[in-house]
Amino acid sequence: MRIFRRCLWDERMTLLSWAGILIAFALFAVSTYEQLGQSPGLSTLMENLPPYMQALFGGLDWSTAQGYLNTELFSWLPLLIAFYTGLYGASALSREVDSHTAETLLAQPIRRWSVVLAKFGVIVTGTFLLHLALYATVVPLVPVFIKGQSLAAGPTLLVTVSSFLTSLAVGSLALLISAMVNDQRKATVYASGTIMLLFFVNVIGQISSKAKFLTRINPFGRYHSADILKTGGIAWGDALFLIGFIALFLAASVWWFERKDIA
Amino acid sequence: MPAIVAENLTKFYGRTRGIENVNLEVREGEVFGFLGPNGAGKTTTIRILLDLIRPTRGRAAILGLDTRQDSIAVRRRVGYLPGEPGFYDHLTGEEYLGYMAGLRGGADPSRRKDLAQRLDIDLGRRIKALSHGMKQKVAIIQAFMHDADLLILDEPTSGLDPLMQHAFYELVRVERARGRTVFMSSHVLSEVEKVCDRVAIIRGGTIAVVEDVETLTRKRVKKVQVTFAAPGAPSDAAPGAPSPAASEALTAALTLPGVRDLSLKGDTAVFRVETTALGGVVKALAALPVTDLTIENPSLEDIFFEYFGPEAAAEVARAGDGDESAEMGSRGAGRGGRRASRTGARRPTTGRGGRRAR
Repeated sequence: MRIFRRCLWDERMTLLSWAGILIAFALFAVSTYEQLGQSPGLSTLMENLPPYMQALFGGLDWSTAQGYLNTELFSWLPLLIAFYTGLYGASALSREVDSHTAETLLAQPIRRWSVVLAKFGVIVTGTFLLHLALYATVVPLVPVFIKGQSLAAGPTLLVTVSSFLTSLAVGSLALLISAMVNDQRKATVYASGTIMLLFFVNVIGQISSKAKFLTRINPFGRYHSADILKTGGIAWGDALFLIGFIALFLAASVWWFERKDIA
Repeated sequence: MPAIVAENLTKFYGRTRGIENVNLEVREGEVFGFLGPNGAGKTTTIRILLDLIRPTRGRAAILGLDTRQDSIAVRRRVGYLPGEPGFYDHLTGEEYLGYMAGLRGGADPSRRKDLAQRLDIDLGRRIKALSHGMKQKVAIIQAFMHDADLLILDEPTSGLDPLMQHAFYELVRVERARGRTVFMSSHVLSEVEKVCDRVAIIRGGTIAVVEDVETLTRKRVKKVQVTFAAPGAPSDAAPGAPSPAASEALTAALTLPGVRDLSLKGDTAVFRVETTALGGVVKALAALPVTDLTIENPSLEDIFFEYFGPEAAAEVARAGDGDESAEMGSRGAGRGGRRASRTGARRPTTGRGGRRAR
């Protein structure tokens, strides 16, 4: 618990910065609705897009606040926050080894898995706080900036939960990279590359029916904000997949870190 | 019960050997030196003892507890100073030590304060603002503050100035007096001699010898360089040939027991002499026209030469840390020494590192 508290406290400025970025992004998306979302040209453009491109944006009506924000904000949300979880996750353990603090830390009477869990706890808390900040900003802002419209609190909450699980899945993958790679810089590069690769592989899977299978094993492929907003419910299969993914990669991180040489 | 037992400890990194069949027994209450050049396997052995790295084969026990099976219980009773300590630079020394103490359920703050006073450090400053030597002091406090039964210290005086080295040696003596066991690695022979009861010399990943420090001291030889006044050297003598005075000294020195490896060039004689025979040599030289006399303490390289022959000494020299004076020079302590002589810019030894007379 002490390691968790220490690491979370050390992360406070980074989290505040990320929260600021997310809130600014949400503000930008909401405030541009009247200019962009209600532009007839853009609606026509969207209607004329090929079906696979329309599918990428979830097939929601752009002229509504919900449809516009899904395209401009929610569809990018897990990628944005995955960069936070990925970058923190990648450096969480590798920084300790790279800067030789792990040697002193692990010479204390503590279990190695407790260090991994503490770092994972910071990822969970950070990811939760960022989503909370976004949710708490965007839902009340919509009626203020977009007259006569609002975001349904329940479905938006479910989108946020789905994004939370997706970003966390990426964070757990980055944590495994961090457990495996001693060099913090290398771990960060590998994690960033993996995040981008997963995202683009998912895009390819969404566009091409032959590559559809790629989305099934990909955390980003299990995030369907448009469907949640349309149906008002979360696909529990996707949620369970993401929880399983997180558990698997967390367990792998613990296993790897337990057996590695700290040198 | 021994404080540390290592049985056939072996570690390979892929095909590269870290250590092989290291066998050690450190008694409770003693200060044990672990001496060897860089890359000999000191840190690998220490990390295995702390379960930071896992041996390829062999086992180790600390205070009767298996270092793998009972690693938490072991670490609860060990204070550890790493060779390259890492810090959370944004913390102050006090915060860092508080964090580390907290991981053990707390440490007596008065002990931390006392250690800080002895080592003359302000723990209120951020670690990133501290010099290398100051950071080393924080690391030393971290190792000592837990009041552990066993202290494992990897190159503990690295970066400390001579004054602080003395303060550190005093800390070690106090711990020994309190019945604690200290296991410290070093490549500085004189340091080990100052505080250790016994010493193990590790070479190429294997323990080459375990000795009482007294025995080691008795066996060690000092290197003597004498320059003689040489007025009127024979004009027909070949360049570099011994002068008559030097020849006379050579004859005198040769008859003394414990003197060997004599070489003579011009007015200067260089030889090795056993510590026990040093008094006789100085007495014999006093009767001669000596203009310069330098007596060097043996380096680790010299000790390796004594024990294992010239090849081993060359290994130490290649490792780049074959002598304490070079090490101390790099720390700014200015003891002079062998590195200077290797590069042809010999500096006379002074102070603790040797004696000089004119």
